[in-house]
Amino acid sequence: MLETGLEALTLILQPERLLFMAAGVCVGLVVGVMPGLGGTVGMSILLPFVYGMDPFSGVALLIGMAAVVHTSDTFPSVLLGVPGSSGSQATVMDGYPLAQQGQAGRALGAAFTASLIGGIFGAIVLFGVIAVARPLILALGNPELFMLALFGLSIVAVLSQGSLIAGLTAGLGGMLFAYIGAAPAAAEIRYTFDIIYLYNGIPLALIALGLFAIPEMVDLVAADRAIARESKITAGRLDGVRDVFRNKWLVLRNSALGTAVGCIPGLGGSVVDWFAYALTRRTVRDTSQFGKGDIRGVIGPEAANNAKEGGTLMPALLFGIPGSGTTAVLLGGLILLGLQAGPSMLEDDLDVTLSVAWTLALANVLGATLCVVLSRQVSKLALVPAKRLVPFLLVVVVLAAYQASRHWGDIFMLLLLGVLGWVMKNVGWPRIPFLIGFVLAVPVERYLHLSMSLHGYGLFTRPIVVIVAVLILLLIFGRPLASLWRARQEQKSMQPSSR
Amino acid sequence: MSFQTSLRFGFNFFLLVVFIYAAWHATGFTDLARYMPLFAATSAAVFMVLLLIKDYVKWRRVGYIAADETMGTATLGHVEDDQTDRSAPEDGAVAEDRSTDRAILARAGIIWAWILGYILAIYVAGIPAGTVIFLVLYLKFQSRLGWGAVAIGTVGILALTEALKGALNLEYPPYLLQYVLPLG
Repeated sequence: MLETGLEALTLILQPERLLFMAAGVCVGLVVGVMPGLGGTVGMSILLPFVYGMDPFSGVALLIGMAAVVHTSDTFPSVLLGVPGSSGSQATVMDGYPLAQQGQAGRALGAAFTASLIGGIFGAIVLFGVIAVARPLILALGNPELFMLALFGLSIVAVLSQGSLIAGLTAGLGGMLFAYIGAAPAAAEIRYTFDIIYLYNGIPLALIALGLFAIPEMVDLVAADRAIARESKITAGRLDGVRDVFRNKWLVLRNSALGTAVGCIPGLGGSVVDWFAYALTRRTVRDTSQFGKGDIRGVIGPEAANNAKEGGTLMPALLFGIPGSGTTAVLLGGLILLGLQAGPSMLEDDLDVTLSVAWTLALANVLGATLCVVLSRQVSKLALVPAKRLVPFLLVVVVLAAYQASRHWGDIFMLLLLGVLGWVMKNVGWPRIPFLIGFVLAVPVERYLHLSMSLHGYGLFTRPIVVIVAVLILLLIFGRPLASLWRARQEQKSMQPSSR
Repeated sequence: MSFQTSLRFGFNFFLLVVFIYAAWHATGFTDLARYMPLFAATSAAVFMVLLLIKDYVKWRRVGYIAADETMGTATLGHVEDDQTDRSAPEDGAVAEDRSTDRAILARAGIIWAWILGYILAIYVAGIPAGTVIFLVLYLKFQSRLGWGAVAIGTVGILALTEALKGALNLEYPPYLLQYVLPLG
């Protein structure tokens, strides 16, 4: 395992792959700086470009992007009081007041250093988990993988924002979209209506770009929000770095929290952020300055939200369960690179899997360094009104979309999915479960077919299958049943007691 | 009923019809290809009925259906963040909400028109020429930038696309005038 790890490091350190990682880091920094975009959009834009790459280069590009989105999203949070992504909402609480007090440099220095340490922590834990979990993962068969995929879909639907019913329906809708085209288990073309373009199905890149990138771009321009009074970057970044080392246990605690919460599919960056902020407040002395410019209110969440990336990669790489839009698109990217998440990532492709952990660590180092060294230049991007950057983004998005299958149908499908995504966003339908349903649909069908062929209905008597099935039922029906039980208890307690 | 609420009801009905049709269509597939689409479509249709009932009950009770996924940049959801008391609406407040709705929708409509226009420009003139036309017009008349910024932005993005095309072996889509204007 160690040998393979060192081999993976050697492969990642080759100049060409370092260049791809640097390109991914640059894209991630830009995406993080622009409020409203986020890792899913960045990953969607890069996805079509990995066609034809070797796995290590493709992984370097994609992971390089994902690793640093939550590093650069600090710029708008601190300088403008606007979260750069869902993972930096809590940073605004103390980061923006610090900037208003003329300590923007200190806040940014602390945030980048905490992000760096958190990101490396997440990468180390990922490496360790891969080593420890390998025998367990390799023991899983098709029935277990089938149930785990269903579990992944359920948990994301349940934990996503919005109603449970909308989340589950969105997931099922995504699955239906995935069934367009050739069936994996039979010689059947489904839902194509004799349109030849649809015979190969809808490419994942179009789903991601259409559902996430296009609606964000439309709404950023349409909302036409005025930029809040911006703060200038001052000196003091080194003070921020010193603050992080003065609060090293806080950094480690929050990194551990971020990694642990990141493992749970469906709990996104915003949840980790607020958990970390709450944990920070509970575990430090003198909380009187929190919300008014306490540097610890920046350090805690920033360490957690970068460490989270290592956590989210665990269920994605080991079980093929994407816990967020970013990892869902990443899994699609792995398929384009000829890789399949799950046991094969720990057997035949162990070197690629370990290169993910290495890239996560190296990209965090590079990203944080660039943010510190180029903070004034990168911060200028945060100050550009989003609507001015949108047309350039649109050009890149359309070009990226066409690479999906190099057919005009890609561009029309992008438009159609863009309309669907915009409507979903504006009427309150969650889109992440849709994307995850799309990614998991074909593996679920394939595992089910293989399981039924090998085990018949006996697959439902396997212990892990039964346990996971019970968990799924608890997940779906637990909340409504608990609400019903609580309502009944309240009714009983309000009834006058009889003597 | 606000535009967002009407849109949600309309969208939900549309999805219900789609799921019912998908389930019916799935019954015509061969055995092994039928089960998962039929399961997904039927379950989705059932959930849609439940969601429609839930939305209707909520609408009757509070007078609107707020967006559950307001990510802070949702155009319409952002408008209905405030609790609106259905029992005592102030005419001014309702009128202001509706005019805000209309203004935001108008801006969204404009950006959709720009996107469609860009696609049309690519279809006719190809990516390089279409991008130039789109960016010059958009940056000048929508973003109201000076000619210098327009030129720098346009040249910059063209250089980026050409660099990406060369480095990553990308392809540009075919276009109507490609034999007359062989630029991409």
